[in-house]
Amino acid sequence: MSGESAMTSVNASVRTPRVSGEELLRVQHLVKRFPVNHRIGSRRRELVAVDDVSFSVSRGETLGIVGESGCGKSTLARCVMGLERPSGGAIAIEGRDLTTASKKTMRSLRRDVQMVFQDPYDSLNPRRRVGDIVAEPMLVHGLADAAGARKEAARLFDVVGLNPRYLDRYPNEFSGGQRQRVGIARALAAKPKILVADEPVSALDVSVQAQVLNLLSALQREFDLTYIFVSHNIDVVRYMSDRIAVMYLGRIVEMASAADIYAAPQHPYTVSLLGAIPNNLVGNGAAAGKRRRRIVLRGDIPSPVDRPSACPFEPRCPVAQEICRVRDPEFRTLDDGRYIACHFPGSLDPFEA
Amino acid sequence: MPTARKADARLIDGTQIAPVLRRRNIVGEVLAAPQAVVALIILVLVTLSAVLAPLYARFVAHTDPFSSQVSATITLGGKAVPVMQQSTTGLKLGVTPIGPTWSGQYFIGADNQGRDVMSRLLYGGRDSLLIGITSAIACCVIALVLGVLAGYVGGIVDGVLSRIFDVLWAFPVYLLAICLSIVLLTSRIAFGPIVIDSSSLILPIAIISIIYVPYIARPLRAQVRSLCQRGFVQASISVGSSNWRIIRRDILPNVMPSVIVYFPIMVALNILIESSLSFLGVGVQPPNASWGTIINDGLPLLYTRPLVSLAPGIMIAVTCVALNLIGDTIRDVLDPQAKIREAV
Repeated sequence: MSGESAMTSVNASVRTPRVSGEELLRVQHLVKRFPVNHRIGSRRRELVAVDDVSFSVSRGETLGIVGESGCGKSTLARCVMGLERPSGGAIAIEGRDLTTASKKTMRSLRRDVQMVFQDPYDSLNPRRRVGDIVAEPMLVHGLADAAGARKEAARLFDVVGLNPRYLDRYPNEFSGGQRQRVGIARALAAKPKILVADEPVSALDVSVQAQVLNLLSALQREFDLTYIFVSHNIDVVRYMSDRIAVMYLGRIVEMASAADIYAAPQHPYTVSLLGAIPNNLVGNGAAAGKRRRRIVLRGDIPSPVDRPSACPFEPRCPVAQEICRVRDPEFRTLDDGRYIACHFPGSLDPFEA
Repeated sequence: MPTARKADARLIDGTQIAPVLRRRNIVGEVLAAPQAVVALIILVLVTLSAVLAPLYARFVAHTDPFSSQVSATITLGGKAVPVMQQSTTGLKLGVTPIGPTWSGQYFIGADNQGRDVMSRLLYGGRDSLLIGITSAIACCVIALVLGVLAGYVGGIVDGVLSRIFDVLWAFPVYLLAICLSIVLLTSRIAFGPIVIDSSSLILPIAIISIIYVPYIARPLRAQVRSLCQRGFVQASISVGSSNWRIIRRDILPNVMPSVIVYFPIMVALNILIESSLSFLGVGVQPPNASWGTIINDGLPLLYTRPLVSLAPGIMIAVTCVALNLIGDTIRDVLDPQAKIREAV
């Protein structure tokens, strides 16, 4: 084991889903466009970061969102957080729509969804004591008075594995992993229902990543949290998630349970993502013992500005056919309940012969 | 299995918190630099001399530095000497004020009206420092408010404020100051019951504080804009903090170091611009005196009694150098990347 990274050993554990089935978050046809800087006189152009994305998340579930840089996964997370105003579609938390909420409902909705940020060096105000940072959500939402908030902050410090003696220290006195724990404590302080984790470990040392992931898993059980876990690392996402949505160029191209995605990926992009995991020997599940095929993607991602009407993965797809160049595959449900946007699902064998 | 959970989840990375980087002692770090100590001593002396000006005038110089003393005489070495001395050369026409006695009365001589230049120098320091400091405070406060407003609110507010800054910035500093002064000084200003006399010090203070606002507000605006993209501000928004709370807790504490760096340099710039305006006659108005007006007083005496102009000039130079030294040291300590656009 000593030669392997902490990540690999962590992967050996198997998640047991404890999903209640009750729908907590529903995202429908979400679109987020950004205006692109344009020269005077030229046509006004738009970058479509999130293009008609729909999914729902049940209470207690973890939805993993995976995709390469620039695929819109962070924008999607920021829309769910209410940090970006969607250009279209609806986001509803327990039936209350976030996109049309008044300022007052927005504040209480904000409390229900909290975020763990990617960069722990950027997400803590260097001029505030960590105790004040963690107490802030309680004070803002009137959950406690100053003394109560401090006591609760000390308790939360204990929960996330930090010594409550460090409440009066400044962020620069903590390591990256410790800062991320402070960020998690801040998110928990608002007593949220949904925790959006946007690349929560990708800025951390590999040796620390597993600790933070384990902490997040433990907290989910303890506080009955629902997670939306965003990462470019499909291995990390698989470890954390009950269901996985694979994003490509602003769209979800495949969505299924983590076990299904792992054992039998259907979309060629998912196959290539899984094939890129350094250790390509499948350890457990239906495909245990097989080796994944390594697929080196060639070609470029189409620009999210002025998308073509073809399948966006077509230029890089090893199994693309004529129709892929002509028609954009629609997002449909397969017989086994998966969602996929591909004309030829399952045509790329994910394993070596 | 709560015990098992504790075992893995509560594992603290590194186990020990870094015992480094306690809160920095900024004042201590600034005072560790020898040039800052020298500058501070100079500034304390200048300030003390300005504060004690009335005592000097009464007990050392025995004179009223604001009234004409053309017919006065002083006792020098047992003999009575007139302050305004008759010319002894050529046609023996005209009078020259007494030169430096280097003791008690008329320490560095008299000006054209026989007034004690040393006393006036100390009194002038009062006005120069007062204007320099209050207009720097006003300038920093206005710039902070506008810069934070433009950077935080963005959109139309930012657009309008930024264009106003651009217009102010586009003017040469002295041209703008002189224009404002001439307009304001030649008309009596009345806002309802408040009437501002044209000799009031409020006018130069107001003029000078407005002129440099864009020089501070623009960099602050840029700083606020980049702060708004930082994770901790985004975190505060997602936590649900109000805008005012975010400005107070996240924005202001992070831009204050820049304001602190700008402040002493602004005081120096303001003293310079005040002196220039007063020298040109559009700054401090009689009966008040400032270093700039004293330089102007000494203008006709430049060949015979150069010290009348030289002394306030030296005071301005020394004070500004000291303020810049302190500003540079604070900048090095607080904010090594900060750059201030030097005003011309």
